[in-house]
Amino acid sequence: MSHSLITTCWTIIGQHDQKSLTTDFDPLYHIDQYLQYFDLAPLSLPEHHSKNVLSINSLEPGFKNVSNDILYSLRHHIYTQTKLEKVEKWAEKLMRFCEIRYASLKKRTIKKCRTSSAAQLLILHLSSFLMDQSRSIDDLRYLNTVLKLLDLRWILNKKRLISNLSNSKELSSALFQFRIVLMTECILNQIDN
Amino acid sequence: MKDVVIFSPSRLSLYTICVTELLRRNGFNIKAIVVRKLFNPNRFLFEIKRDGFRLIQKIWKKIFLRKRAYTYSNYETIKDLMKIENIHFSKVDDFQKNFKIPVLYCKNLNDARVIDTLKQSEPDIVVFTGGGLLRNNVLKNSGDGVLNCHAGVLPHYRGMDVIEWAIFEEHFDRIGITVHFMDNGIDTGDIIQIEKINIEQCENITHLRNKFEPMMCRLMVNACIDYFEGKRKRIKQNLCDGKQFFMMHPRLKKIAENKMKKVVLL
Repeated sequence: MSHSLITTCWTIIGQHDQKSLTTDFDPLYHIDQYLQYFDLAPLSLPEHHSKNVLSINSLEPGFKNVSNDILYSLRHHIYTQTKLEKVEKWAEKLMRFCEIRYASLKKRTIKKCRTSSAAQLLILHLSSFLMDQSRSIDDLRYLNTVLKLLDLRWILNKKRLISNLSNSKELSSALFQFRIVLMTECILNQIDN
Repeated sequence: MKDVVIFSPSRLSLYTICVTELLRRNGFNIKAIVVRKLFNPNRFLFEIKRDGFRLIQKIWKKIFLRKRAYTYSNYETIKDLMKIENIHFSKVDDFQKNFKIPVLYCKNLNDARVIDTLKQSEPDIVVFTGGGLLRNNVLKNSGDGVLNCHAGVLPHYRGMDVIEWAIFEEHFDRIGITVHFMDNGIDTGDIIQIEKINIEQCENITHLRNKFEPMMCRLMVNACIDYFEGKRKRIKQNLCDGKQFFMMHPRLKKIAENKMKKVVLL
């Protein structure tokens, strides 16, 4: 995705009111370093709060136990650098699942989430977690998996990203799509240079 | 004389032909060659899901082009190895014709017929030249075990596209081949021998892969000889020293290619 498209997406995001941008699971938090890379000014969003953080200790890492709340908690632990061993186990398991079950991922996720839009949001959130983990421990295997996930058109349709960002109906998914594209492009550019 | 059973991914595999013939010439008794049937819908579906377009490229190279896939190069390819060693066979069935070595065709290397063949032939070792993951039942009926040659340095690089991953991570000292025994995991079994390879003389990753093939044949045969002569022992892997890698995305592969070009030019 070109620099100009990322800039266009960010301009559209900036036109939304603050309240609509603070959607569930905070797709626009912790992206300042990536925005900076593309010379984009961060938005002034309300202070990040982490009251939804669940305990990840009792759950066995794996796709069958994953949910948006768990992914949110795992991301929170990455940002706060806590429980990193447990986070790594989750990341490894989820990456392996996505790689091994790549061909049947859509079917399996829809079965788990019941609707295709919920399935898309879960995989986008999962991709976002894997990207955070990739950056956190400098392991590019996670980036590799996310790039493959982004090739699936039911997860990311780049041609429709701008229109999805303008539409408030499924803004959460569109914001996650933007977040992941921004992170992957930034990391790929950094590696290439 | 040690008894060996060979596992092969296809009757047209040049790698299987070279390894089998070199083992035979070095005094190993080839009890049977077990070959996975090439045209099997289940196998095709599984591999197309896993490899995508790369499967088409692989079929084109390994089944249609075969020796013609190797053009002139300043390093040895498997085509050169066959010429140097005077190996004229074109398919695995030629071993049946010329040396009465039984060739068994199966849909899957874990089939009951394969286990029966192993039980009857009681090999000292099984040499794996491809054909998919093996289950416990096959592993435990394979004498000392199933020997595989992995195109990466273990325990650091397990799994797929490990040549590309080592280049991508700029671990040029971890590019090479490992002969190891197979177990339930992916490239996690005991190591027999590691040979590191210099990437110089290779313009790109495809050339490097071509350079690996004859080396893998020789290393596999030498490892077998050394193992039975007691010159090489099984070394347990410390799995924490490495990671499992998956097929590399084309965008990362392009970066790896660029990194390789830079190193070769230096």
